[in-house]
Amino acid sequence: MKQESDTPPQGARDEAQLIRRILDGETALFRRLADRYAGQVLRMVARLIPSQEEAEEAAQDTLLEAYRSLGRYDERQGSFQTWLMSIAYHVSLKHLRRQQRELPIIEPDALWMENIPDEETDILLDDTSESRVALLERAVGMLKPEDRMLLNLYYFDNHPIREISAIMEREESYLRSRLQWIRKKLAVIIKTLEDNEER
Amino acid sequence: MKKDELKYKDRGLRRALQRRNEAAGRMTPSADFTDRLMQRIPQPEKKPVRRRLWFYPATAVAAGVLLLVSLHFKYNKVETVEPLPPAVIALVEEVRDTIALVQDSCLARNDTSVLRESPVLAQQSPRKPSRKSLRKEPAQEPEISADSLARLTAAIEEELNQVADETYMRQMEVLINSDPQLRMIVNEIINPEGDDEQIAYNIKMI
Repeated sequence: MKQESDTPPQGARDEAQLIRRILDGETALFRRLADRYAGQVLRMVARLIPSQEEAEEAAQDTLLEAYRSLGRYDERQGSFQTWLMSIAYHVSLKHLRRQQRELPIIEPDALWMENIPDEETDILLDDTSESRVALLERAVGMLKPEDRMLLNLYYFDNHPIREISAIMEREESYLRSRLQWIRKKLAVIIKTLEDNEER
Repeated sequence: MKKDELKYKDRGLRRALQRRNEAAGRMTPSADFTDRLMQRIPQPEKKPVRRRLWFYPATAVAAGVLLLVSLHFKYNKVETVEPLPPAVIALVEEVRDTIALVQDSCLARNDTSVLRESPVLAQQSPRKPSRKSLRKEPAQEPEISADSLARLTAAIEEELNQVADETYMRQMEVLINSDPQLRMIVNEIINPEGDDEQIAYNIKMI
């Protein structure tokens, strides 16, 4: 086995070379990839799994799965980071399903959703008042994990739709329409919560 | 990067997400995170120097084992062949003698049939039975008495005589029928003045 003290590949440009060496048998080099991405993976997983312990477990599973599937990674299809985030997303969903958590998901009536005008949705989601932001925070927690992840990737990480499509393995057109649907859904939830508070 | 691809500002939503992710954003992997991960990753064994140390002795041991196994199977094969019991062998040896007698008593033409049978008998009764077979069933040898052996020999001899006679007659019949000239000669010998029907009857009787 070659020693790890060989000239170490550095930077994203050398990532492909590093992966090639790992695939050639220098498995110890995977430690470098793990060190480089462990934090990112953990923080992404933690958006769906808030417990530190469970999130670490899911992050480990993600990196282990990445190691096992390393041979299938194609740098022409996208960056290693995007590929890894895709694994993290699916592993997180798997963890949530395995734990069979009862999530307080609200599925608003479709008719009600259609009755909310787009302008009203825009106003509700653009409002930065403390009370509205608090309600939005609660409302986001009531969304499906997939929808929450989509919002995070789009609004928080500022990933372009193309990259989100690679991470979530969904069509770009689906993601666009899904984002609009989620916005309306959030608006309905906020209105419902506000109505409940008034009563 | 198209930040506002859908042209929504949604500042309130962005702030809400920021708050929600505050705790997750502060998370860092524990100190032994990578160590634990690397322990879960199977390490391939690539130690050529060590391999050389045990490679040759292991090869020698494996070869020895293979040799022993092959010898064992070969030995077992010999063991599994059931040798003829000594009594039977003795009888067959006797039969060989009687065949010789039958040959003497029969016509010269009978030689072919007897000779054809002799190799088969030779196969069935090896002249030198292996020591193993004799050793395996030593108790059977003294059980055969001289009288019983003689009776058995006589019975087999008689049976063989009959078979030899029948075979000879059948061969003669075939031979005569196949050759018209020979048929005529035989007819003249058997029935010099007889008609064809009588001749046919005579041949059939033969």
